[in-house]
Amino acid sequence: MTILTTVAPATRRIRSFVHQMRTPAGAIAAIGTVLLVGLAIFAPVLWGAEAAEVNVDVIARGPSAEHLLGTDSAGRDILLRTLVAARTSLMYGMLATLIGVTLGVIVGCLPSILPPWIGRLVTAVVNMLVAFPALLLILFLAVFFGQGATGAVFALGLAIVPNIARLCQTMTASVVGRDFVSAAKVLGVPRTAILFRHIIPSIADVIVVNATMAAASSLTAMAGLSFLGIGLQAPAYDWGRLLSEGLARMYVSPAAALTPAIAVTLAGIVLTMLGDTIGRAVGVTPVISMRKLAGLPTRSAKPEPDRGEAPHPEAVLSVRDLHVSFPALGKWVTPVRGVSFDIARGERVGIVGESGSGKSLTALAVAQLIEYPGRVEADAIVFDGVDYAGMSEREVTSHAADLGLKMSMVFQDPMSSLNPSLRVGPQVAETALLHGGGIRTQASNQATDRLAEVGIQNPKMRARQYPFQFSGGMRQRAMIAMGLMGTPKLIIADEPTTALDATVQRTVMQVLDRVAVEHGSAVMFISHDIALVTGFCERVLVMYHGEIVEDISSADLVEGSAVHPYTKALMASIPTLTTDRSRPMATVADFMKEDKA
Amino acid sequence: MTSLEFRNLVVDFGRGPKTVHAVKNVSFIVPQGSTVGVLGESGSGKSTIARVAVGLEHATSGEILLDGHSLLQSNRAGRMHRRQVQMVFQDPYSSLNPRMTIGDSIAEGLHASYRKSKQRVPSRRQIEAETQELLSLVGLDSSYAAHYPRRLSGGQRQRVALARALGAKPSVLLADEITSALDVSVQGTVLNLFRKLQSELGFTALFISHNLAVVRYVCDYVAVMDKGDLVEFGPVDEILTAPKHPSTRALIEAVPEMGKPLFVPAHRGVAR
Repeated sequence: MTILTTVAPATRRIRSFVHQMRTPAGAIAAIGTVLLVGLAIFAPVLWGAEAAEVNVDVIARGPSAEHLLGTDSAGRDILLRTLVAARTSLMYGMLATLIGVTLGVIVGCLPSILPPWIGRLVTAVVNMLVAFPALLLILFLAVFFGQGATGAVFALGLAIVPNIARLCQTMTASVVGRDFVSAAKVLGVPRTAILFRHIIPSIADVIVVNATMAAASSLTAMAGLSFLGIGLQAPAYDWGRLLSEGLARMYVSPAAALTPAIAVTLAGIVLTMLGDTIGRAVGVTPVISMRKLAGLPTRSAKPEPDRGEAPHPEAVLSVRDLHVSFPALGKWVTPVRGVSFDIARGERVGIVGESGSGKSLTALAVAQLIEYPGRVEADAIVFDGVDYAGMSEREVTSHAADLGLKMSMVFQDPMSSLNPSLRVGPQVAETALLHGGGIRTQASNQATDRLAEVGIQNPKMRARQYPFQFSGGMRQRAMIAMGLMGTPKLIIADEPTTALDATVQRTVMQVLDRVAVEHGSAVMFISHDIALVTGFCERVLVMYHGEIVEDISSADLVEGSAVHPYTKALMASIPTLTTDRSRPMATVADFMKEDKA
Repeated sequence: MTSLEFRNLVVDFGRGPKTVHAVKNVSFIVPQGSTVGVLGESGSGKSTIARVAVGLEHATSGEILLDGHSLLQSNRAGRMHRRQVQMVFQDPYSSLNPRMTIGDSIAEGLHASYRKSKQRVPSRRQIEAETQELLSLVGLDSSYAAHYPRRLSGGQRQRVALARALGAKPSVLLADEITSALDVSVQGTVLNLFRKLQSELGFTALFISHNLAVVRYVCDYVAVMDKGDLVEFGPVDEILTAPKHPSTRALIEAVPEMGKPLFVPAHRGVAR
């Protein structure tokens, strides 16, 4: 369901930024940043002289009409001084961030250019420094560089380096592992060019977001250092110094201390929000949109009542006019459009089609596993006598035990459908505990039996192992065993062997075949491998662009009596061990052209 | 044109007791202008031999020779010879940089290969013209140069990956499972393209795949690997019709074939 857009990444990014600016958080961040920067630029120009003006007549006064927030020990206006201090506070904070991020990126990217052994050394040093508390590092460096703004800025900057460097290293490592970097290496693109053209652009988003967050913390940290007296020295002042000057009179004139404190806090919050907004705009932070999409997906108006027959009473599964829709870029897309089919008790039905043809979504919709914001609409989804079409989430939940015990699913990737941190036995037993209300020991004994049934050797020992200790084929068999904890009337297998080798595929298919026969289960078998499907199923549904275009028995399909051009094309475009090698392979495009002509 | 020889190639990953012996003493020759298919299950070491040949992994011992010249040396001569060997990867969704246009991706390869062969890098216009030429060679419209990969289908991306590799004018092309991430219906078009390109350009090719039918369709010879060992090598028809090694036989038997039941089915109709 990839949505193709015609715009360049840069344009898309600008649109995304504009979109984020319209959200409340984004707007506050943007306005706050503009104010902050504006203050830093113009406040010293406008009020710099006034804020430095010593007036012995009004020493340490409280708020008055003339001095809104009172005066300090030299009679200077606190409000003006706080506003003017925006420049120093912001400037030194940014300077520290700049130093830190620049050095961090350099150190973080070095290992990918340097010879491996030096690279490993750099990584090790960075890892050690990350473990060192940042505050201690700052204080140590600040003392080392000596009092004053320069020392403090360097201390803060260097303290940021380990974290940014570490971030760069992990991000770089993940980019380096991708094939486009390998391809560039094989072509002989120099290492520095790979770094600047492939690696840095790929990690820049994350770095920018983290740099903004780092700016927020170094702004507050700089204020902290000044407060402690190791930052800015008089007569220069920033919010930290103002705070420390005001603190002595906290109980007499709280405004003197609170004003700079509030300024630091607000600036920190604005910068953090800015980082968050950038993150959402570039897609680093996940976006949870609270906006409702206008309008629902519309099913085409049906010419009642001749559209499709009533659900089949004998079938284990009867689906009528199924639609599955998802919101994408403010519109609804409907990858499954009007699918109707029946599966008889004990029948095996295969579904074939291209990726994106809607075959997996059909299976998920049948299993009631389409999650918000996806929408399922159908005239009927009758499974074992219960119509799930149009049921509310709560109603479906009340039938969960039914679904859980009578329908089982096997997915393509057994590694991601098993929880890696739980032992296999309890995971297999879970279905029985959850839906069957069984007792733990009984359930776990049953799980061991089921693991044995799917041909897992030494099931007692295996049940205590973790998924990573299982091979791919064993994991897939464990998934089948999980489905056998109830009495499955229907087993939905979505590309269960695609990730497996052919020889392993065979054993998994044998197990699936045996359990289906023994339990009298129907099987809905989704695959792109037609030979596998026709060898296993009695009937095949061919899906194309979200619709079922052919419903044919396996025998007829093998004989070549398919009617729809797509099915014919699919059959012709698969190389077999008897394909004529002197001729080019038939392609789907050839067939579909004929159809149009 | 050129032949590629693997001579006693050994590749180990890791050290000590946890060493993984990915490739154990593999020797075979890819004759000039021919295509050798490498068949095997996952973990058989079939991709590793290709990755070693292009310098993405290091050999523990043994040699890979291109017309008698070693590909494994890290000096300039080694790099020069390696340049003649290019590779196309399995996953076209990962092998193109999503932040670069198709044209830029191909041009980058062209630049690099000019620089590496110590030739003067031609003008931008000439690079552009060559990019267009490569696109039309793989059957893509020249307007694709301005597109980003996200607009392209898997099959189109794989064409771009082929164009990029061919930009280096390789005498040997390594194709690592180039159709296994694609839809069955698209697979045929990429196979046709591969055969067309080979007959036009005459490169020597190593075609790595787990799909017997695809290997049979594309290759002249086949090398069967199993857990790092080369268990069988020979003309493709000979191996597929009369396999000698049990693991080759198991591999062939396991492939589902249209119109044949997968296995003796469990006894039907004994539902509880």
